[in-house]
Amino acid sequence: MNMDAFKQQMAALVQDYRDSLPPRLAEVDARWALIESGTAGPDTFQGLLRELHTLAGSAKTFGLAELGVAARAAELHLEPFCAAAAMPQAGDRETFGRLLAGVRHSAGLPESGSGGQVRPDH
Amino acid sequence: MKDKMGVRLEDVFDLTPLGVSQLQASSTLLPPEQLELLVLVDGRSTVEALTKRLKVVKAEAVEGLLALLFQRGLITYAQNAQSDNLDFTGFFSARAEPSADALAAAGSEAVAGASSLQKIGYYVRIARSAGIKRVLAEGEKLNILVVEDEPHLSKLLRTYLMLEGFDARTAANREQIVAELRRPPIPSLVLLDVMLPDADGFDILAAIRRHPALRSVPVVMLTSLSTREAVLKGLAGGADGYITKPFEVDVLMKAVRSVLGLPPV
Repeated sequence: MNMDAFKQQMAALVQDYRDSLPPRLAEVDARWALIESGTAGPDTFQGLLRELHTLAGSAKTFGLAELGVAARAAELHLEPFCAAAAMPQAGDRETFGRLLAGVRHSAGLPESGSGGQVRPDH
Repeated sequence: MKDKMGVRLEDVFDLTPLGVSQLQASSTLLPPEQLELLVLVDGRSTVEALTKRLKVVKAEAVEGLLALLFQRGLITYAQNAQSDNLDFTGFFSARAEPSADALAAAGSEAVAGASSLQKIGYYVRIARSAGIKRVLAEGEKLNILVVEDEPHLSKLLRTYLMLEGFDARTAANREQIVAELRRPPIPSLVLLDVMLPDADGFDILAAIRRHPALRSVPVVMLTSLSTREAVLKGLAGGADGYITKPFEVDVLMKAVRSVLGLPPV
């Protein structure tokens, strides 16, 4: 592989990653909406945590360091509730909502969630 | 023989280009018993046949010596024989719980490992970084298996590794991991994400270390955890190195080359 081809591949990959963010964050919003509604089971908690974990571990590598930091903060806040699949208290929900808004902002998306489609898992 | 030693009498090994160059070199640092075995490996003879032809090496030492030669990149499974020889029954059957002895032995190194992860983003365990330096024969490519479920990251790693002269393949879940490990050649190194959708990286590490044909394959963990506890768990489970996520690609390449015994670029 020559350097030009490599750079083209990298540029395409970075763009593809950025293009993947709106649907991924819509799914994050949808899972959080389910949790807030009180209808979420353990899979919803785990799915939300996994997506935040994946974003936290990958965003900086694709040039989105701020998104990585914001996703990590949201992941760490959510982690204890996932372990117990327990609904966070109102104060924690508010904090998490702010952290999610920060994630969307860092990804260049509107800070209010769009609400995707995730079915309840119980 | 397989149950006891992890190598079947009917297994067939072949020399790698490095093994060939080792035999052609004017001098060698290999101990006599390893050299005797290396000379006999020809890509056709079974382990049973090799064992009968040995003069210095005792039959019960053959499995360990073959593992050493394999670990040093001097021999590999013969291409036509490998896929039949790899048995993955129950590969994911047990969870990883390092023994108390392993945890104690890894304790002091875990402190240095966690510190290195936090400072420079990677850590290669002492035994591995001080190990044999590998010299690739002309045209020789080492094969790296990337286990990562984030598709963009997986593709980025594969592309970078190929640019650096490696052959690279990817797997994102249990089924793909087994399929890729079954497909020859056995990887020279596994880059292993810890948090996968249907598996835990530490369990996969344990499965690799239990598997007769894979136990000597170096494994580098990709993890977001840089705590002493996380490093301790990996070291005790047999990980050869750590890279923290998110990673800088040049840091990852340094770690990969170090674990493989290759000189820095």
